[in-house]
Amino acid sequence: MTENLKFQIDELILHQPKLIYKDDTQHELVIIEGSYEYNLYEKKFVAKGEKKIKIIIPYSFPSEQLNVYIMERRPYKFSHFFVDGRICVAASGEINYFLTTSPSIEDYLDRFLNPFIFSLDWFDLYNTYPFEERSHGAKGLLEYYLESYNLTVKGFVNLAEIFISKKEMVRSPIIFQNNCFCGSGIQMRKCHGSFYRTLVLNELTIDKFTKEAKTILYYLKNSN
Amino acid sequence: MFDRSILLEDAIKGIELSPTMKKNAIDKYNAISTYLDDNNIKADFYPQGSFLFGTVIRPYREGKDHNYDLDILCILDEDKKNTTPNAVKNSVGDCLKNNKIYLDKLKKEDKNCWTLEYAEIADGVGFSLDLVPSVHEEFINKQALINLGVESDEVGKLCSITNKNNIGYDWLMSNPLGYGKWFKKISDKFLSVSMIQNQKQNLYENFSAIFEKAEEIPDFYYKSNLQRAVQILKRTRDIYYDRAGLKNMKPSSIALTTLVADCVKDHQDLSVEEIIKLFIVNFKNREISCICDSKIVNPANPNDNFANNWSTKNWGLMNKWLRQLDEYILIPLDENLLNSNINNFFDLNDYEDNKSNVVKKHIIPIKPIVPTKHWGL
Repeated sequence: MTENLKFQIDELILHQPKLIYKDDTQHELVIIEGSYEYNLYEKKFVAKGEKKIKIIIPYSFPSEQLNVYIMERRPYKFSHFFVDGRICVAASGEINYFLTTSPSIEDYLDRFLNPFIFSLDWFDLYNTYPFEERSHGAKGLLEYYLESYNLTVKGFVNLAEIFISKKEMVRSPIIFQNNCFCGSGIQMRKCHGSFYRTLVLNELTIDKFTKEAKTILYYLKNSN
Repeated sequence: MFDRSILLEDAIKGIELSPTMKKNAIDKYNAISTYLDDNNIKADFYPQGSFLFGTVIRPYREGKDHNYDLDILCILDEDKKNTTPNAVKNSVGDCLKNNKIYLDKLKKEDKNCWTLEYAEIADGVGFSLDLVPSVHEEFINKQALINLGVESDEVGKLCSITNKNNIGYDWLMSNPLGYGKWFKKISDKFLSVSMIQNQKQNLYENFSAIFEKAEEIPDFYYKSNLQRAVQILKRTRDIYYDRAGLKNMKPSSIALTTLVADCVKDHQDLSVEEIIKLFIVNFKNREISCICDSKIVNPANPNDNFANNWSTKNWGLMNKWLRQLDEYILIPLDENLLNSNINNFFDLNDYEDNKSNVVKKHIIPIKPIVPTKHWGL
């Protein structure tokens, strides 16, 4: 484990004393387990209490994402869990984007686990989600890009094709001089340039987006 | 040890009709009465519904508080046999439309009433007055209600209100003032002399602009524990059904008021907490006398069923809401936990302002969150 990761875990445990960690050197993971205490406020609603959780953090975090499991009863009909019990906190594009900002473990939990726990407590009472939901599957992944970056479906397809069909061009400076994939007619560097840079930060981010783009294009092809 | 009833009463202080607002509303409908009188429409005006029972709270929809809705019964001095519902409704409406001030406040005609909107009366909050034109009901119908078991003093002001339908207007028998008498008889059992003395002093000190002498404060400004309990239940109902996206399924205020009052009619001197607890238990066990064959019978008109459009889903949802109210509000023994539950169940505006105090009370500091749309495979 890197010193930086160790420092982050110590910080987390300092603020969450009911959590303990185990270093799994063989798989290069840190496993944190125990009761996560929370006191959250939004929409004039206080979510307060403890939840039994397990967090699996790869040594490579934040290049790779961590996973959180809720180890206790889930509200009936609350659907945002993977089969193995991991929580689906947000669309993968949204998580990937957040990871490019080099968050700490606590930043990540604040950003994604806290709203998820808030939603669990809200759902327990009202059987509704406090924030809007994304569609499930590839449709929800696409919605994130369309809403967050003001893209049309055509604009997203253009972007996806750069990563799939013109892979050699992906990190070329020339691409920033070309017209933006969104169809605005403006040079990409003056239009969606800063968003694009987060996708091509390194081989890992390129790989993540390429995989996601393929899933979305497959969905679009089959839904038309 | 904390007093749960006091915490609950505090939770509705910001959303109940203040004496200033109440006085203002009374002045407004008295002015309308005088105006109609000047234009040869002789009518008596009475508050009805929650305005009459003293259980008004601000309506809550789509996550927000709205202006107060106040209902006024306007009984025209006309013989029902010599007029029509059309004439009764529109004589009042036309007269209001002839006055620029009232015309500007008048909303689109409603089924049973004319609505006048008074914006921003105090602290940015206003109210609407729903004027319900009506005439006195015929004697034979009053007698019929007495035969059905309604007390004779509760049918004295039985009336016919007008009802606009697809083809015109018809009459609807209504007994809002008789109902008010029924409710007051029960409510007074939960208003002791010492409660009146305490409230008298508070009202006089806090609203000296309205009350010249403490002794001159009219009775209807005092609040019984039953009135408070009804207000608390109405508020938690509004928040619960709104957040659950089920506002069309929520029990009406009149149904809820009837159930609570009927539930405690044979008791007296119960605290707010005890009234709510008793109501929750008795509703769950269907041990409230006005519930009869899945009907909620109007005590002032037994032909009326306040649960007319209810399905089993309505009954089930109401059970669920009350079960949660019990679990989150009546059972907790920890004051901090109860305070945050009260915040959630009453949608309190001042929680954010008091956040610094709240932080001090908790080891884990309160954190705002970034609303995030969940996704799944």
